[in-house]
Amino acid sequence: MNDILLKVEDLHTYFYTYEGVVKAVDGVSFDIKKGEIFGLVGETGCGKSVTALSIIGLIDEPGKIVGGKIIFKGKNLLEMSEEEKRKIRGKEISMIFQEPMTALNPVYTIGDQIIELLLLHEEGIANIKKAPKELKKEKRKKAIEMLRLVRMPDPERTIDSYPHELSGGMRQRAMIAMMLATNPSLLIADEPTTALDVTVQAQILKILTDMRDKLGVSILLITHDLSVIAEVTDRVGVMYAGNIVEIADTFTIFQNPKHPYTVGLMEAIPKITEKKEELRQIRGSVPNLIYPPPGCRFHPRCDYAKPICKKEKPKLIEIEPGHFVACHLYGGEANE
Amino acid sequence: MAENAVQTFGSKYESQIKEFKYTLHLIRKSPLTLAGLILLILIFLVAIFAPYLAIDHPKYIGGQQTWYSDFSQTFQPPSWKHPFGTDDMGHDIYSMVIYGTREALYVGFIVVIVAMLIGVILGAYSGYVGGWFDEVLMRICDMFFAFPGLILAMAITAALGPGLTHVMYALMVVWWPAYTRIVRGQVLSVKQNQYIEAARAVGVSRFKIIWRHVIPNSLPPILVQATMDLGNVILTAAGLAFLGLGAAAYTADWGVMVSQGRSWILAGKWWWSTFPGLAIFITVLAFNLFGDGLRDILDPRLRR
Amino acid sequence: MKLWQYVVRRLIMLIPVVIGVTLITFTISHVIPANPARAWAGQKAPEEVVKRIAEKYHLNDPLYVQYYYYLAGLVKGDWGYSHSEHRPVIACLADYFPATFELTLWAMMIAIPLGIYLGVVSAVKRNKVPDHLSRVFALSGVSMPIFWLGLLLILVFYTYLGIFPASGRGIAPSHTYTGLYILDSILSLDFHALVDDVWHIILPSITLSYATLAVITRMTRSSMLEVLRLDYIKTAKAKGLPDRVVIYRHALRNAMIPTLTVSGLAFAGLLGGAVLTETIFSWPGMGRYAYHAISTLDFPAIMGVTFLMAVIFVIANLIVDILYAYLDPRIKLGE
Repeated sequence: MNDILLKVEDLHTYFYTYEGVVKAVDGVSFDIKKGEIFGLVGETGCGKSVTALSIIGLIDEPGKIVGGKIIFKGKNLLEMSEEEKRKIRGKEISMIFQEPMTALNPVYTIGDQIIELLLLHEEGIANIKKAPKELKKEKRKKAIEMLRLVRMPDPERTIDSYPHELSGGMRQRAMIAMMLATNPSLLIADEPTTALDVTVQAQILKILTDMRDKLGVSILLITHDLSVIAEVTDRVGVMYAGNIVEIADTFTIFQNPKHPYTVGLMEAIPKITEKKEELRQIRGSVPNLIYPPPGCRFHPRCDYAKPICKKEKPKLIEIEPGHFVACHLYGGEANE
Repeated sequence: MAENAVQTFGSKYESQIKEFKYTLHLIRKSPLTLAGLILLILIFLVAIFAPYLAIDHPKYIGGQQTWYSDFSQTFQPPSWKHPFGTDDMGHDIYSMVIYGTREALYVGFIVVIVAMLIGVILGAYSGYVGGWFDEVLMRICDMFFAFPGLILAMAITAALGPGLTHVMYALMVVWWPAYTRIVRGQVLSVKQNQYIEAARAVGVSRFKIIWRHVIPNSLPPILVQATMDLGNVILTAAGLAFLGLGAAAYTADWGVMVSQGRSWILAGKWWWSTFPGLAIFITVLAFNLFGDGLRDILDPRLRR
Repeated sequence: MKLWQYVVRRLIMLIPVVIGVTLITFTISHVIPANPARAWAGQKAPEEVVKRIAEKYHLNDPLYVQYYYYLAGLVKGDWGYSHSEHRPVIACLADYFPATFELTLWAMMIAIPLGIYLGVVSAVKRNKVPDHLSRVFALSGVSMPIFWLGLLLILVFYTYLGIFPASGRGIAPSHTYTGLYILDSILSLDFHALVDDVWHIILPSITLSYATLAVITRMTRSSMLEVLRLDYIKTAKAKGLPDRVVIYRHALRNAMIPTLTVSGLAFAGLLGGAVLTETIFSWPGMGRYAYHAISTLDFPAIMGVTFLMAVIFVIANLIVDILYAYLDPRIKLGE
């Protein structure tokens, strides 16, 4: 049990908009072990990014975390004061975003942005201008080291570049170097490769796994791309319409998916080895999260829906060791 | 049949109706915008019903506006008889302020409409055809932008000779380049859209494309600009009147009234300048409140 | 591209703009008036003066020749004769310029910091009470007739309370270095003049700054709102930076870029407003000179002020462009 770093329990994050309450995350539970890469996969708008932002505490208005627990290293983040959470952010839990283009501040050099973070968490100096020169020099060395660690070409020079002078892949490297500089225990990567070219994607993913191996950081990787999941993650949670429908190790998810939605996802992947007329697709579309379907949210699109699926929301239950599914098809046996 | 038609209408315009309802909702939720709208309605009502609201009424002698002078009533402070007091000729300031509403709105609307028409025609054409015409027109606009607006209007009016009509000409000259540039920018961005490409590909004429597709799509920001400019034009016209370039003395022009009353302020006769100035302030504020809110509401980036 | 290269390029781009300015002032002074020579000489001038002026400024030649002599005159410093002051226009402008410069400088020093601060507060507290208050304050600023605001201030602070003086610049300092009274009185250690001059500039500079303050507040607010939604703000927050640092170091620095552009444009309002403010407070600057010129139909004086104001405005925007390049590292790379 001790190797669990983060435990999310029954998290509910709602957005109070003009149209109504959007239940973006509606009862999500999972945990991340130390040194593990945990993937969260799902379609756009299924709540995976909102889950990530809830963990790091960056849900903005009109959003609000209305229920659940986020236990990080034995403490519930949701019960902490804003000040305590701020000290964890960037130090213990870091996050990188989809668009390296816009995620770095365009008016400061890469170096300044990394040094700022180091000064803040290692020295408690929030204003980089007030830091003594010596200290800055020391941090600068560390920043160059970090850049070298993420295999940034020519780090002594790159450190003084502005974000617009770097390519997308290099920016994402700088971002990773920055967010890992304080040696956090958890890195949240929200679609870190989506905006990049395919070849660059592979490099960035390689860097992420390397970092896990070298620094022992746990990574929560959020993506809609199953090939990314297959390449780097140890375990996967599949999200659908604000719920987690299945959690298992990566191999199991691909070889033996249980939930009809996961099965559908897997069948939608083109395989070179099979010659099929056309790809399977899941019928229907993603439900409206203001008025989600009652019971299991997937039932309107499910080929195996039973009457109970329309009434009762299935619980996430362990059907074999380490393999959890939220589906009435499996619920019966396991409950007994 | 009828039901069917209603249904078709409903479904065809469903998204527009929804957007419109949402816009109304936003206006209701923004107290400042609502305040601007209410003030504007009141100001228009005052302009329309000026003859019923005013105590005294102007006569036109040889085209020149004149007010009844009562020399037994000079410099009366505000009272029930003269709510805003009287000036050094015994004119009722309240009535002049009421009639001044008409003049202010007249100046504002004529100037903005003319400037907007020039801007829409030149800007749409320039943005759509591009090339040397566009280049030259933009350089000409730049020349005008190099001047502070009030200063340029002052010089032009001085060259033409003082008078309300000349002030209006000068303001049109000052204001058209801004509209030309906005419309051109809008046209350039609308031009990128696929449906314009499509229209051009199937051989729709240039004029038709501009008229049917380009102009309607660039209208919202222009209307927002026009709303705010109505206020700005009234303000600048008042400034010119204050400098002695506008309407004649002792006419129902707010700027002129503030200017005339100004030297009496030191003597404590505050009402002559204060009330017409307040009228300018409230009118311009109303246009700005409404325009500002409208911009926020129509801005798709800030909408949700 | 280095910063100085950028500056040089911007300076070269200035040439066509200044030529454009002369084209417009030429049109206003030589083409619009029914009888330019009469306008230049003044309505009361005798016929032979008009004739002499027409000859001296080549007003009977074709327009392109007139334009040539007009340009030559501008370059040589012959900006016409100000008959209300019985001396050349350029001499009057040289006298009145420092007063206007001092007034606008003070107005800017009030408007820019305060405007930025209010804009930031407004954006951070969007749709809450401080935002509504600052929006009403800002909208009032852009809606308030400057001359009326000046009159109200005089009415309250001079007529009724008697705290501040209502006219003039105050005592001239014992030595003149720059023509700016407050700076000169500090330099010449004339504290008697300093106190009096500061006392005199308070009401006019507040009057003049309000509209600009309002424009800067509004622009800062909207560009802050824009910036606060961007990803790098999320990054800054994810780094655990305190709100103050996120807002002022990360957001404001970026939001300043559009705000700066508007400050440059707002400078036009400041120059226009200076004419009205100076008129009200009898501030002996170019604006009051223009006002007197209007009432005495001194047309060359009006054109001189117009041309100089346009040049000042163009230079102000040049400075803004250079600051812009300094603030935004992306600019120097070429558009």
